[in-house]
Amino acid sequence: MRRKFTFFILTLMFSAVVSMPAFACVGKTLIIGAVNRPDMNTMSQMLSILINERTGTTVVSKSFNSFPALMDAMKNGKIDIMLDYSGRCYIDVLGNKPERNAQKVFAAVKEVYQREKNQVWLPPFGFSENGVITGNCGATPAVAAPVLRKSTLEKFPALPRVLEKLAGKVNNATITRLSNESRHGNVKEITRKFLKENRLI
Amino acid sequence: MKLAAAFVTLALFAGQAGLPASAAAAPGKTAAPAVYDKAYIQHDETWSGEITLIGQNVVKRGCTLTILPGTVVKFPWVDEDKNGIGDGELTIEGRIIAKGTKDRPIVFTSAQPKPKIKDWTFVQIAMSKNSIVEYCKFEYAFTGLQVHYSTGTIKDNLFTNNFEGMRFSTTDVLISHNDFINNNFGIRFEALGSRTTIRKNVFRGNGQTFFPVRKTWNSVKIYDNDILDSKEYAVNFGMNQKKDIDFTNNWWGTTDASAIEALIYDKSKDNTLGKADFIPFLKRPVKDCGIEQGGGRPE
Repeated sequence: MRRKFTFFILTLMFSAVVSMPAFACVGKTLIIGAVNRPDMNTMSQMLSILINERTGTTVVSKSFNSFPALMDAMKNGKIDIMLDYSGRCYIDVLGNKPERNAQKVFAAVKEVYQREKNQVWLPPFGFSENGVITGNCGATPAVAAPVLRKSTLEKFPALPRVLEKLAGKVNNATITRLSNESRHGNVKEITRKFLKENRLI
Repeated sequence: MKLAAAFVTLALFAGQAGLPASAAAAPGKTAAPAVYDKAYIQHDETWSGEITLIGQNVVKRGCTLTILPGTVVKFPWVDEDKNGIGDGELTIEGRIIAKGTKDRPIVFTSAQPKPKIKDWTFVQIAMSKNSIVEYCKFEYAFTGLQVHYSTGTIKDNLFTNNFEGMRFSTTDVLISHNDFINNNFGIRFEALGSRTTIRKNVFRGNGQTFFPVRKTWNSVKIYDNDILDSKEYAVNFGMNQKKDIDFTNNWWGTTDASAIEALIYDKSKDNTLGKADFIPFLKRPVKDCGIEQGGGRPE
């Protein structure tokens, strides 16, 4: 009797789900946004492959011409994840003066974004903006990291665990090499090779 | 009982909310060509000739869709939610009997002049008893065929050039004598206690042949298959696949155990994952594997 009741409940639960027009079994689509520059394009592809292959989630990468456009898309829910630099946000978004303590910069940006923007900074990849573009931005180093909307975390609770696998794995030398290779080759193949060599996929 | 009442309410609400603007399709045997646009089919139907399906089309519970040999079901490109995946789909909440023949298969395909992967979403069998899918060809879909909470037989079909050939969860289905050729993922599953059996299939040229995403254990039987030429991995454990899975007694295209292990992403590469047990493995191709007398069967 109990088994029949359990089956009845499961049937109703599933019926409720499949009756909805956008039944999720196609797989939820996750959208990653990044500004169109070699290092960010490379990381965007890398995240797409890592997330897709470890969780099965379908990932779409979108490219933006500027950081304000990227941030607008994030704010308006048009993308789920963005890639950004802590130092740039510390100065350009929060209006602070340049600061040489990278940990202080990251902690400040993370705290304000979480409190005021409902966005979560995950651990940095391991490279800095200064390491990619010499002389830009006063903060040393302005580290690159993935930023998620809180609602994204609710939809994709496994994401932090996946993305944290990349934390500290891509230093300045690595991102420079991968970006250079991507200029002349297939960025998907190049980033996939990197992930495979590091046994991340 | 409060919980049950809540689910009843939820189910009824979802049913109402899901009704499309378009009217239900007309009953009876459909003369070709026929176009269904977000249709809710609420009676038994038989399809033949050429059928066009636009958006999400549903065969409701209690109804049987019969598809005759030689029928071609086409999905035009529509992407209302802009997710890069064509919206066309056929969901079977009742029962489907799609029995093609060796010479006259049933084809589910893109309507695009230059078709590509993900042109349409899927054929989905959900909460269905004893569905039959035989001698069908699924191509250019996100997933050729998804099966959830269902029983049935999936036999002698060709899954080719899809993002995922098949996907299933919580099913009791026999998947045998099919060919899975050149899909990004051959079969993706989160079995959750499924008693599905996968045997006598040919897998060739898929990016990742088996993708157990999570919560699969050995209630699923996977043996006597030819698993060949996987482009990335023959078996790729998803990050939440913590239990071991039995992959013994399959032919991997080699008798070199280390070469087979290199084709598997499991505990050997990430110690948070379960293990794919593949020893003992077969030393030669499986007899009578793949579509019976089909093009995908190895010589």
